Amino acid sequence: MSHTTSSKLRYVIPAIVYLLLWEALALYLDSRVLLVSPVEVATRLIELSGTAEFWFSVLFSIERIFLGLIIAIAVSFISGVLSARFTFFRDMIEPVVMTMKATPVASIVILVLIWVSSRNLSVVISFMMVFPVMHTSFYEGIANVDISYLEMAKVYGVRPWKRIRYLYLPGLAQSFESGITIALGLCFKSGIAAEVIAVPDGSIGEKLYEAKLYLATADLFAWTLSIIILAKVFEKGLLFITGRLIRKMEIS
Amino acid sequence: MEFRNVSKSYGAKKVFSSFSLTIREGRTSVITGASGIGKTTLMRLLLSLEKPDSGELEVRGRVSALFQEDRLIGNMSVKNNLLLVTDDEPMALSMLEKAGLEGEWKSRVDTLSGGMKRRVALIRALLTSFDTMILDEPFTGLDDESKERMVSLLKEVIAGRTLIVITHDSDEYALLAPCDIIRL
Repeated sequence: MSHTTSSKLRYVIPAIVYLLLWEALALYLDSRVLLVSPVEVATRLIELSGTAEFWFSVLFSIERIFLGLIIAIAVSFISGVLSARFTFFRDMIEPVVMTMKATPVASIVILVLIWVSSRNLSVVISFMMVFPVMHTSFYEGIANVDISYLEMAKVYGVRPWKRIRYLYLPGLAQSFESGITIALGLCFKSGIAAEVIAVPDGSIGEKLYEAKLYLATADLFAWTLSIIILAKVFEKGLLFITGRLIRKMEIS
Repeated sequence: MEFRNVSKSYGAKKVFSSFSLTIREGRTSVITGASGIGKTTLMRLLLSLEKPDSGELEVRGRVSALFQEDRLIGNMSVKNNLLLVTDDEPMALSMLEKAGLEGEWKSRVDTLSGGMKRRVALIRALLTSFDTMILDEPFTGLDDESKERMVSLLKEVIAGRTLIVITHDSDEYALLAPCDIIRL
């Protein structure tokens, strides 16, 4: 058996086992409210994806979560650089980051709802979830640059832009790669959770809320599955771009 | 270059106590001595990477160095490691050729042998602009042929400037002759 085939089977076999268990449990419970079968979920997802409303909701939620993500990456990059450069800035920002990390999402959602409209809540929530993770990643990416390289750059009179390009950027890109995997999962989960609480019109969160209201379990599973797929697509896309950038920086 | 009554300690460990030394400009000086006697500290003081606790240190012009560790960026190509310190690509290529590494321009540094890395590190140091060059154990891991190649390249590049070589290998004195030998 080839290596590729055996590595694929490592993922396929558990997936099949869990799908069969799910199907068996759904048959055993025999209640479309308690648990729907995987076939029903797939059918419902296909039905939903054939409607314009589905894509409108996806677009509505994605654009806001993604906007929050982009703003958070930009701000955390600046704050990470400033923290690594200025101890005073780091001392000032650290309590903010720690507080943002420790505060429950629900508390932030309720507080932010007082400040902004429910339509734009997921932008703020996505930002607040991503910022502390990416701030720490960027800060560590800079702070962990090997001191022996920095000494070398000082002795050799390496120009500032070359220091950034060859010493800091590769470390930053790797920190970005590890941070974004965690941040993306967080921003999608918390962004949608915020929408479920605030119920903005036309969002995925609203659809999940309605599924709960009408005990439409198949819809709940189908929407959840669509969120997982979307988060994975974004993660793979960003990691692909980052990976290519890192390789380009290493050998060029 | 002159050390006048320089003292330097790391915590309780005293490395130099009222240490004085004059290094003649425009010549090659070999600094030798037992391990831990302060050869690398002396280099770090000359490079302004450390400050003396007391005493005076007079250094004129720009000082560059080859560190005891290669300090090459392992996941980057030889080309990028060399172009970190210069924009003169033809010069970097020519030195690589003289060092017998012409086929390694695009190789990742971490795929090279220890001796090859040492040669790349030495080339990178020689590509920097300097009035004084300090080399800390420059020929570690090199076979005799590579050593001769690198000494020849070194003499060509140094061309009348000040060269300070830190080594514990007395066989290297002859390779670097004529030179002043300073025992710490």
